Amino acid sequence: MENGESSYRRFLAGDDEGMVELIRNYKDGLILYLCSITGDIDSAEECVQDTFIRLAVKKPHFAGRSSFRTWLYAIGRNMAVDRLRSLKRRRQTSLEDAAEISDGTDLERSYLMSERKVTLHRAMRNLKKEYQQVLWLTYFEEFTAAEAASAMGKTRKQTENLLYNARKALRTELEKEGFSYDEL
Amino acid sequence: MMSYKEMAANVLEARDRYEEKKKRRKTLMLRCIPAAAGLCLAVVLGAAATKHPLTDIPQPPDIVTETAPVTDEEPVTAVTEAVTTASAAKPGRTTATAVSQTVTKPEVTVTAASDVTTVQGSEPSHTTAAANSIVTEAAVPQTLPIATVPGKQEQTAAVTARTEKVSQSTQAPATVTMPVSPVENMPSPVETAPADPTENVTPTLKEGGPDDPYGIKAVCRKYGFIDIAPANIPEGFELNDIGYEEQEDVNVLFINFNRKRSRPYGGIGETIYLIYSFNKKAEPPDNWDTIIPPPDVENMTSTVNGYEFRHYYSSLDKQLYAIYTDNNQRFTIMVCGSDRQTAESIFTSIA
Repeated sequence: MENGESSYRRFLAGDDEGMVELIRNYKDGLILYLCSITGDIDSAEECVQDTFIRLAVKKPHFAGRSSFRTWLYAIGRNMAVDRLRSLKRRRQTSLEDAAEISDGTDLERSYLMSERKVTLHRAMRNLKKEYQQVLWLTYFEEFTAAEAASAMGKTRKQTENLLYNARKALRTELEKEGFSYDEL
Repeated sequence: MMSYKEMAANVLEARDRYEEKKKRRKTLMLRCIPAAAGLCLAVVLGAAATKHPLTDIPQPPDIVTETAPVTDEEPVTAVTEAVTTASAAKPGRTTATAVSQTVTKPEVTVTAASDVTTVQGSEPSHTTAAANSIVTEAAVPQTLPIATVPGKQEQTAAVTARTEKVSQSTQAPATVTMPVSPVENMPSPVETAPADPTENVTPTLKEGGPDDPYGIKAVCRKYGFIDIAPANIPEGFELNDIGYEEQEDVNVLFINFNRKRSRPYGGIGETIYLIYSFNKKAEPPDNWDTIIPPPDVENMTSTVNGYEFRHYYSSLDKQLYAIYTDNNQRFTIMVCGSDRQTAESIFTSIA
């Protein structure tokens, strides 16, 4: 049984420490993943918090058809998409009134802990959001194609095609900055 | 950027707030549901009581009865009045409809008598210019549905004997001769009529016989009517009931044939009435030819079972009216609620 699944079952049984463990293990990676959807780190953090609140309040049933992490990332993705939709309906906030938005550099460094990965992650920011998602899940979260498809709500074939195109785009982007894709 | 502990604290706090809210909601529902159920029940009961009050007991429908004044002294006037009233209701036409409605209760012989009046009396009163009605005899308007048939006046020349018309009916004309002559052996209804003025005398088949499948002849003999009855009744019609009513100057026998009804109250087209009326004090009209039927038919003369009837059919009223007179007695047959061919076939099949 995966650590996340066991922690979640403990939480459902009444142990609040299980939720703490979940947050500790999955918060950063989920933030960085959702950042590719929302576009900014703070929105991603709020989405992650909302995701864990949903787990604590609604207590959805984990069927075990995929890994816990895939299941959690799928929930987080749905939360991020819903947030984007709601933000579209709201008024645009002026930049003067907007709070300072962090760029997530510290989180990036602390989570990735590899300059190579940080470089890669920064290069991904210039790509399409779907490319960012699939690359993040595949390269950084080490999701399989099936898990990435499940988390993104796509079929496996769609995910593989998306990954292929994302790599091509990432290669181009890295070459612009003087990096060789093969080295990564 | 929050640490994982801060996020965990926020998450658990949100969870606690939700649980508390859920608990309060559950308590509120447990208190409100019984009250809401009681309120709904009260509303339903109140609505039911309002719509169907316990004191509202359905009463049987009243039968309209209305008697016209009987005046022997001025029969013409009476006729006029009656006819005028009838004219007001349905000028120039027989109101077979009224008759039909009445006969559903055979013991009640009067319907909207304003529409229908019996023209019976000591003097034959005929058509009146004012009303343009057809009067077959002196009007003693009574509460009988069998009555004069107000209609337009026509020249007597239009009246032609149509015995051949009757004979051409698809139904075999009744040729059975009575064992006795009509004049000599016309029974006096006064002598044999029972005391009970109105009663339902529907016979059973057992009372009839091979030549009297409906038992009508037996009833006729019992009450002093000419014992003739139609041998031909359209398919689907069954004898519903026979009612007898005795009044001062006229006895009436109602014979009602109904087709099986699909509706609770049926319709005119599904009922055939035979109305035997016997005027005890009738006198033959001064001028038989002045009896003018409605314009859509012509007077016909048919010998049915030895009795010479003058008859006509009104397509507007869907009624065949036949009358036999003999000095002070008259025998009337009315076939209501059927088309001309059916009415004539029923009439001519009387044997």
